Amino acid sequence: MIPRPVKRYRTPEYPVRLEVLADPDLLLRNVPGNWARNAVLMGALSALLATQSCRPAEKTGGAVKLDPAAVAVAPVFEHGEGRGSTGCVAVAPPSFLSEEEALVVITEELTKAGLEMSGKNVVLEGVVIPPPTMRVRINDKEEEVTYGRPEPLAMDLVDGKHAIGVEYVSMPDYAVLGGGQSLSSVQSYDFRRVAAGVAARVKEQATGIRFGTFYDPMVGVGPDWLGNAGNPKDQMAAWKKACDEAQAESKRLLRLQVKDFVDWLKGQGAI
Amino acid sequence: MSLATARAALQFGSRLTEGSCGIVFFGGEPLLHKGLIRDVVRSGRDMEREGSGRFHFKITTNGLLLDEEFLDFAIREDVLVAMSFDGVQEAQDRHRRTVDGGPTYDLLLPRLRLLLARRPYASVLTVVNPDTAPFLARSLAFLQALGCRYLIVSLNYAAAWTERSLGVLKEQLAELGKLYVQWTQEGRKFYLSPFEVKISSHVNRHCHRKERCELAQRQLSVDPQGYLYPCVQFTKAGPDSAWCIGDLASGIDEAKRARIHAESERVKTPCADCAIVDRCNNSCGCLNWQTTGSVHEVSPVLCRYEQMTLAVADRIGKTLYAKRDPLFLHKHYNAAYPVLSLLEEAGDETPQP
Ligand code: SF4
Ligand code: SF4
Repeated sequence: MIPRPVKRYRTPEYPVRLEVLADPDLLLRNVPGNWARNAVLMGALSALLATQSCRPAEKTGGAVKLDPAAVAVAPVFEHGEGRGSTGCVAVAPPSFLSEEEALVVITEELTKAGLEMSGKNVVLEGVVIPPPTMRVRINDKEEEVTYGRPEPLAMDLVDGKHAIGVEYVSMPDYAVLGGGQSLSSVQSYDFRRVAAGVAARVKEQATGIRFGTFYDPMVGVGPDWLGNAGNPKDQMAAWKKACDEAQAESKRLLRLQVKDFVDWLKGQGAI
Repeated sequence: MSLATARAALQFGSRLTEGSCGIVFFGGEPLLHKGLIRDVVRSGRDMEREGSGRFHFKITTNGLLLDEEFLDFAIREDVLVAMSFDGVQEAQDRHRRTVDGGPTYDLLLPRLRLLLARRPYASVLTVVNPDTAPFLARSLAFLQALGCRYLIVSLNYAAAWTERSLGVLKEQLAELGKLYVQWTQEGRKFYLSPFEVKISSHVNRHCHRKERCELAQRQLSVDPQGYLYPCVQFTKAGPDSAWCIGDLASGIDEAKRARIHAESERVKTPCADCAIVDRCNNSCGCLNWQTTGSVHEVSPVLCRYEQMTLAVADRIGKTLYAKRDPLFLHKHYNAAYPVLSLLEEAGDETPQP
């Protein structure tokens, strides 16, 4: 008997994980019967699925030109608290700046500086983000458990010509990038700390990149958002106005983070 | 092994490991040395209290000396206990005999029940030989009905497999595949190796190869005299062999370690053009060396087994995905499944605000 290689093998007729995660509803639509009857478990499931956002490692902007001399990681420029909580004890509800909106702001500022951020979700070779963790109570003991697997860091935007990459730490990124996950109804966020962690990891592990990390400034809606609005229609309008103002302030603070990064790049002689 | 050598091994392991260092007790039969095991585990826990290391411990036993007292200790000290058991009586009694040649099924079944009662998640290891292959599916169904949830099937690759016995094995694996589908559809939670790993090798295609064993890189074996080897089988070769890569006192001979690693990483001769090389378990240096005498030569039996299990695993995946089976979807696509499953079983004990 001798080992005989397989000449051809049909692609299996079930998807790979990233394909399924591209449609997270598939997992929410199909839950084991016992889970569906358990409200806490269903809450945990939605929270945990949100942290497994699909970040396909495609290179739409061409390969990153790796210049070993170019390794430099910018500090996290602090504009905005980046902290807050959601859940039943959170008095002033936070307002998150979505990844899409943030990337528009970042692209605008970097384009003004002469960069072309055409690479999207480009894997930064050699940088691995450890699996996310969360604290759960099992048999009366609170334990930190790890779930998922180590994943490569996929940079949000890349200018391949200048070997410049950036990552924006958004709410769906929070647990994946090391922020931890809560299974209770309260989730606390500290985006600045998570962004600093990402920057430190890149500094430690990457080669050939100038790297910037930005974070959601997480401007909260102030406690007096209701003002004098009395009827439900006015209350809705007041709420929307307060949210819009918070978003505008978040964008302004993010823009300041990016401007500081541009100054830093200039200081580095990169642009 | 003396306690002093074992303690030196703990210190050595903790220096090499950033997180928790896994310590596995291998034999013969490790429970012949229960006293030593207790002392080693206690030493490890003392080191943890002093902040000089973190450990997790594991033992695989044939079960003969497994008793309440040892299980109390294992549970108290958080030592994982796995047990070898080959399934139905015809399979178990064929190769697992007492020293005087007696059968072990009746002797060991109560021990397995005891283990499962105290540790419901204990792994049960089933080894398949050519003459026990006809009982494979029935054996696994028997173990599942007994309450075993972590079922690890492996082959005795060194046995005298023939085309005929491999044919029987193939049929049995197909039967086992049907059982996998049936159990999943019934909502039963279980882990059945090798199918889980094979399904994962497709589902997690983007990172599967990164998880494979790298000989002499992440595991070390320590023999009773304190000599170091790349993995457990190599301890047989002895300290004068090319497989000894140092000792606890003077550390690892990095040149030897690098040579062994490089040798095991060489592309296995028939595998370079194989369409399933990325999903094949051809990289176990221990197994290759044991069966072919070389870390980079694969055994023909392993080759056949890999092809058989892959085909069955992909059939399972296709069938259950087509039905959008909830348990299958979450087990294989939801990275948080182990946590959610644990929470489900622990009841509603999540922290409340
Ligand atoms: S199936 Fe056989 S030939 Fe193919 S990679 Fe595995 S051992 Fe090599
Ligand atoms: S038994 Fe094989 S796969 Fe496991 S650690 Fe040893 S060489 Fe690696």
